[in-house]
Amino acid sequence: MSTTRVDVNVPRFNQAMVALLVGIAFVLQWWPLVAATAVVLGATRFGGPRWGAFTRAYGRLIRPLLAGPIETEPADPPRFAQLLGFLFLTGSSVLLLAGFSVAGWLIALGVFALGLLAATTQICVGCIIFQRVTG
Amino acid sequence: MELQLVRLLILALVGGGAWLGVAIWQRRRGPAMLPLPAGVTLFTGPGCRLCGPVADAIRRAGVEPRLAEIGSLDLPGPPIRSLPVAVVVDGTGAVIMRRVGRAALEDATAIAERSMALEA
Repeated sequence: MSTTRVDVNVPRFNQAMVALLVGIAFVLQWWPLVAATAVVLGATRFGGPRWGAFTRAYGRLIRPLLAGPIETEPADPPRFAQLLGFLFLTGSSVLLLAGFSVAGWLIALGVFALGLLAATTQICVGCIIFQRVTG
Repeated sequence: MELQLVRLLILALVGGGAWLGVAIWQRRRGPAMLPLPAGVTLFTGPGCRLCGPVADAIRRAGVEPRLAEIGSLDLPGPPIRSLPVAVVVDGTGAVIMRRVGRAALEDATAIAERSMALEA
């Protein structure tokens, strides 16, 4: 496990964006938006924050508005949650592309619910799974 | 258009259901977190940048917080991820105020006032 830490608002912003985009995709029934969200999560997870569109947006738009010291948390749990989000949204995209709409949207809605929950209550189920597994 | 409204409703139900599920889970009855003494206890830990400022802010407000290292405690349930956690405990051992992270810094005065009101 690494000792890298991350601004606590970065995972929250990422989760909010995931919930927002997947929610919009569901309402419009536009699966490419689910796939695009998966790509962003995958790029951030495997390429690092430099490739993270949500992370960069937070750094440019939100962070300058916040005053005071930055509260941090260990980076590994949210990174694991991000990996789960990537895998589930990729699976959802494949199912939707293959015509299994109900299954695809059910998975996407699950990611939407967990993203919304994490963004609004800081209860990150992927992080809890990571801590249970490693801890 | 109608279908989109139905989907919006489904989204609201899914999101609200997740919230409700967590609310019920969080309020489930269980063992008390710790037999905490009355007053303000501040949970700290390694790498907690806000812990010092929160402790100082509470002291400035007139109360000496009791510091507890989070790593040395055997807590039931999911681990506390964000530090510091400031709790105000009354004479019966019940937690009557709890603030986590930046909220603990922003509400340091309120935390101290709540603790002083208990003593009065």
